[in-house]
Amino acid sequence: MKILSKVSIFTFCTLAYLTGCSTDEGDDFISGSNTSVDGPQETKVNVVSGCEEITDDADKATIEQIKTNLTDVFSSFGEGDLNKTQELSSATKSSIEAILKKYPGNCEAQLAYAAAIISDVVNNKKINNFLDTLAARQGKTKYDLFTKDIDDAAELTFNYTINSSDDIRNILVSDVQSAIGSAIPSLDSAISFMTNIANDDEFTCTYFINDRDIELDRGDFAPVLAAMYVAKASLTALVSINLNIDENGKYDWIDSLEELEYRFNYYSNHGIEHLLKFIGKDSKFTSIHNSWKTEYKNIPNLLDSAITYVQFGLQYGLEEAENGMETQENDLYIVGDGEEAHLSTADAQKIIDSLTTIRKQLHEGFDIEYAKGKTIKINVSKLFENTDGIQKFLPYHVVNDKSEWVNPDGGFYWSEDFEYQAYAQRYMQGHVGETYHKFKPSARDIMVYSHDEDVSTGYVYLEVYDPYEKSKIRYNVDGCKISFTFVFFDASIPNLADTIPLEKAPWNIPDLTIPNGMCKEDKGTIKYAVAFYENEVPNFGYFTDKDGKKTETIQGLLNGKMVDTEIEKYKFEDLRNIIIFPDVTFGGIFPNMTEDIFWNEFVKSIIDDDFDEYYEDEEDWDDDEYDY
Amino acid sequence: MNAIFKSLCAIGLTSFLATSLAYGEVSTKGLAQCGGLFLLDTDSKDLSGTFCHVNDSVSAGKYTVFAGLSNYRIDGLWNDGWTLSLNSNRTIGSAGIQAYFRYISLSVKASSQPSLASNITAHTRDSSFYASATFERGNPELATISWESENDSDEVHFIEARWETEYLRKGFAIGARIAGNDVDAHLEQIRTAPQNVHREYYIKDSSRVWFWDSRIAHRFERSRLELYYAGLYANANIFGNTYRDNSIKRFMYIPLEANLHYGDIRWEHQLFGLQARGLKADIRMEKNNKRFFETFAPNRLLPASLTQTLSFSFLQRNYRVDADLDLSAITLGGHFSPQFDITRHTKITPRIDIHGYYTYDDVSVDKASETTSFIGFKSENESWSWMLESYGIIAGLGVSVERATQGILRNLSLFATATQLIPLKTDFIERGKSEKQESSAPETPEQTSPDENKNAGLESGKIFRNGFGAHLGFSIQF
Repeated sequence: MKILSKVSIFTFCTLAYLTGCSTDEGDDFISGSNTSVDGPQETKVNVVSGCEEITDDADKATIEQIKTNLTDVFSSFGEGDLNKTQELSSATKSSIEAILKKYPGNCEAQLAYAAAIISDVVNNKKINNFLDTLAARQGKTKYDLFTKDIDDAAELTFNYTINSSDDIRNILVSDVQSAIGSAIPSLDSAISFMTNIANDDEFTCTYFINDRDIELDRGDFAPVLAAMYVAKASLTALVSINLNIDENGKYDWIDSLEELEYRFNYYSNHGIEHLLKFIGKDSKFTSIHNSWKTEYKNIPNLLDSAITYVQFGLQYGLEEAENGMETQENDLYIVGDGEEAHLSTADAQKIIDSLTTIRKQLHEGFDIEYAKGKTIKINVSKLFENTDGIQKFLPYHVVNDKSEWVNPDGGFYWSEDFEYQAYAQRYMQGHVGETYHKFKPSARDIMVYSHDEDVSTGYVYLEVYDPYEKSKIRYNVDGCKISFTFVFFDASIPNLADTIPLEKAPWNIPDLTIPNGMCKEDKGTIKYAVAFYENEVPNFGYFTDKDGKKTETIQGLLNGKMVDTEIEKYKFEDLRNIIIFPDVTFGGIFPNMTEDIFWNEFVKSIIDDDFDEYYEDEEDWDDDEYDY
Repeated sequence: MNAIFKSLCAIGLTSFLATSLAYGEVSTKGLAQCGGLFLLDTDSKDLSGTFCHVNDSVSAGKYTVFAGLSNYRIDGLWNDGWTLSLNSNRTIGSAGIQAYFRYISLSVKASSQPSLASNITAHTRDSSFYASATFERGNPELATISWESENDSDEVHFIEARWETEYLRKGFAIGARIAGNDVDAHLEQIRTAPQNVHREYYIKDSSRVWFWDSRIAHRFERSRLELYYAGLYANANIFGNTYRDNSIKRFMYIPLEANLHYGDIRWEHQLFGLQARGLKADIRMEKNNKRFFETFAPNRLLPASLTQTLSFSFLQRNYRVDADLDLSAITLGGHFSPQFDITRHTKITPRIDIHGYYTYDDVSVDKASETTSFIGFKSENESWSWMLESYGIIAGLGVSVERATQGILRNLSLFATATQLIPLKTDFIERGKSEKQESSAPETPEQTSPDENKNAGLESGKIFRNGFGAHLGFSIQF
């Protein structure tokens, strides 16, 4: 009973299938310029309308052979036999072209041509290379996209985006988009042929499938045409959106981001710096490529067409049903109220009516439930009106330059002691970890922690779990300078009783100078910046109001504020005054959204109690550390 | 249904009282019995049946009034990632009247099934020759079949289908008693007409069943020799349908054809008996390649939706199944039942049954999974077969106690039996292979992976080991 997922798979396959179409062969009936992600290709298709008859017996025989071949093409496609499909398809396509030249108005040939275009899986080289490379990485000879389910497809995309390795470094998202974009003109031409066919209510075409004749008519052409429109809408969306996450053609920054897992040091991480650029004011990420804006805005109309053609096909089925089985005996599906029919007339009408509602909702919006018993109106068509990306909907904020990250801003106090929550403590741990990483770059899962012995000395512990290794390093703080001495290093036994300094350090830790923002001299006394709750996050940036006035820093938000002599946490109610969204309707996508609904209903129901728990967790964490 | 049953009980009781009052001199006979067959009880498969029956009859002169109450329950369960269960739990009340005249007897019986049966028998005055005709019509609910998927979020998670039928039974029997010989023969035909039930899922059938049997028995001075033969031919077309908004759609079609032959020779003595039995049966399901006669068409089972509608164009999947079941079994053995008088009027009769059995059964199933997507078609065939060969012993133990009429105490009898299968050797072989083919492709790529698994899980062995039968009864005669 997994028909839904199967249909989803089919939809995906259709999409994947269509992405494979190519115009490289230089069709006589389709002309256009080269496509790139920067611009859609204009397609001119010479479709002769109406349905011209084939008079010559030899040509009739040829078209029958073509139909048999096409059935084989579609069958082998259904089997997932890509190579065979390619072979059959390209051979068949050239014979259809010959017939179409002779009888440009013949609907059977037009249908065959449209079908051949759909089934033309002479894949784009870039996509093929891309898939092959991905497959090779996972030890497979070929990615079988056609039988993949949605989960696998998502995994594939995820792997590509997040986990890209050296093998595919030369393939950029924009390259993939260009490749997909090149399939659209083929699809356009198939749509043109199929539109002509579907608009002729007299035209039927008989295929021999499963030992019997199947008669295709408008009832079948129209849903296929609808599927083509959905495919075009999906491809257009995929191609239009700027998803360029590379940095000068490279994805090294993702590696850097991954390193956070075992180097845990934000201060030296380039990945974070690049990631923050995506939400910067000048970022083009998620905006619509200029040349694709018109096509992108046209997506709701494509979906309208898809809905209309499904209705068109069903309406035809209903009309046929009035005459019983007379004209639909061999149809792919039969509309009727008898036992020997697929779809009842009442259900067909019901689907037609519900599609009318869906079309209306597509443009005027509909209610969705965001929490139990609570709904909000969503207008999907507005999604396609915004071509500027997500940045303009993000809360007002400023991202600090990397040089500012070491200067704590908000949520801390100055202390003469080198306390555990001092930013410099974390900075020092990062320094030890970084140094170790240079000594042994292959090491993963490094954990560094420290505790103080007195106001200026203490120990840093460095543990590596696989293979197990532990170091105990004594630190000595002298003003804003820290020096290190090894007291223990063992690759197997975690015995920390030994406190006698090692004669020779296994790896050298250079002295560290604490940045001025974390350590300063105040009237002859050295003071350290100590976070109220947590010292992990650097000074990435701050939120502002619409006039650019700072409302609170990220560090301040995480640590709370000092009221008189008490540290006070931020409450959920405070958030709306700190994080200010320029437009809570998000460009009209949620037309009825107000500030109150957004914060009190929407955000609250999403984050629920997490916000308060965050502080509680922090407190527990602190207690644990102090007990240590 | 309930009202009919109550009415019948009332009729039965009234008849009973009326007869007693009118004739004064009456005799009654009551019988209560229960039985059960518990074939299998494992985590994934379960099959059991029980029945209880109570009846009472009152005879006065030419008339006998009888009434009965039966309960039967059949439970089947098959769990394989989904759960398929069959339940039939029915309590049926019945009542009737028989009238004996010099050359003719009549009887009418009605039950809460509901059903109505009538019988007319013409016989000689001493009943040495008789011929009878039976006519019965009924409209029973046969079973409730339900299917439940493992995953709650499946598009169709639960299906419950009720199976009702309307039958017409016609029977003819002749018999004679000549010089210590009893001879009778009997022929019966049952036809069912499909019933459309206004439920979302339902099952209906159109069946034709022929049943015939004959018996020749000779009474010796202290024993009896009997030869019996029974045969059955059944042809059934079972349909699974949906009913929504006055529209009926078929999603299942199971055509079955069955043949059964059974023979029995027994020599019964008061103290012991010898018996040989033989059974040969085959049940066939032949796939029908016509449209709408697929064994299973899941697309048409789905509730109406855009997904379902589009699936007809892009992804239609149908299954057609051929199945063949051959059963043969013989048993040879006997029973020993000495009789002891424990008081002057009370007899106890223990009974030991020992029969050797041999059975050879063969099941083969071919399944074709067809997928039509626009102008593409692919078919995948899978075949399985199972063979079971077994011999062993069927052992039974029973006891009956009977008290003869004495004074105001009437004839009373009690009986109980239990039966167990004891397989001595069981061979179970399972084979499976699959092949893919495209209808229009000239060459058929075949992937055959025969998988032979002897004594695989001994599924059938489990049935035997776990299965037993029991029968308990009680009767009283006034």
